[in-house]
Amino acid sequence: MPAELDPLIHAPARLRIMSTLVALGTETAMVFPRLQQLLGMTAGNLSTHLTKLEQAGYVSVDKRFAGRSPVTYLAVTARGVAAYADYLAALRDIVAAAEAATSLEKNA
Amino acid sequence: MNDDREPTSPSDAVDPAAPSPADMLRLAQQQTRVVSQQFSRRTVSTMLMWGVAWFAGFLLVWLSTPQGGAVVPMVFGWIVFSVLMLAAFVGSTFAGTRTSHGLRGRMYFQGAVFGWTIFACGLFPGFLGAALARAGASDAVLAVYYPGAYSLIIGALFVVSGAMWNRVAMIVLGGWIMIVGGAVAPFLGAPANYLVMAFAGGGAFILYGLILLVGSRWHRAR
Repeated sequence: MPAELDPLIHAPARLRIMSTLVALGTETAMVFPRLQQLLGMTAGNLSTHLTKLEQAGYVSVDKRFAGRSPVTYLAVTARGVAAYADYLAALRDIVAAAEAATSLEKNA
Repeated sequence: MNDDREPTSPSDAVDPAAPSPADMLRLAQQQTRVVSQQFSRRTVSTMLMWGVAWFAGFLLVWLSTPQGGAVVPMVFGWIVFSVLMLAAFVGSTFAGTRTSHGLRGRMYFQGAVFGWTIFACGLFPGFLGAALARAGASDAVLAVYYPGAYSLIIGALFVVSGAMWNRVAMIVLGGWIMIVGGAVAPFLGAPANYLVMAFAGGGAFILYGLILLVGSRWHRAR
């Protein structure tokens, strides 16, 4: 039976956000503008996807002030790392199953 | 503008019109590489800066000695050498702090400590050298001390950094610089040690920088 894909991660923009934050690890947070620049997304689009990931507990959003300017720090949570690992494992299973099926069809 | 479909259930997630699992797997791998390249790009520029500074600087100093044919005036050789070293120290400190810009936590801490430690390592051996001169060390002694001290410090920094970031090539480069610059070249005495520093030291930095550059281009092309 094919593994289920987490719908919260299975969207290109959210997958890219998760891949970026997971690469930094749970102990490193990135400011919103640098993440936006790294992903090449609009602020509104990034914000929408981050809200979904935050609501799922995959991303932590820490808003604070540096002097008078608001700064938002984003980091993946341990739950997010586990969900991302599960998602990638499920993806690999599906891709491997599809490849096996294709090779069986060719040999038939 | 929202550029994504919004699957609401696992069955939506495998909608045939959505990107295929193979595409999504490639996307995840590609994005992980992009993040890694963001941080390694500045390592490439740091390596090349150091490589050019050591290669051109030490070669010019050697060329200013009688054994090197006194092609350039000695004062000119040392001035250019000092400017190149200073530029490499400032450049690598800047690259280190730029890498950690916009970050907080572990990676910020590592980047900031690395950048400022390189800066301190550029400064303090100079103080020690001045103290040695004040205590009576001759020019011949100082000509052996400076390249040897910098090689040991920079080499050790690279070995520790390689261990911290799990980069074997960085450990090899650091070890090579420590052995050649800190243990072998000093026994050759000046000015032969300058020539060794130019080719074995500067050359190693440039080679490592080029390996990183070709590696990142190759990954990007895939």
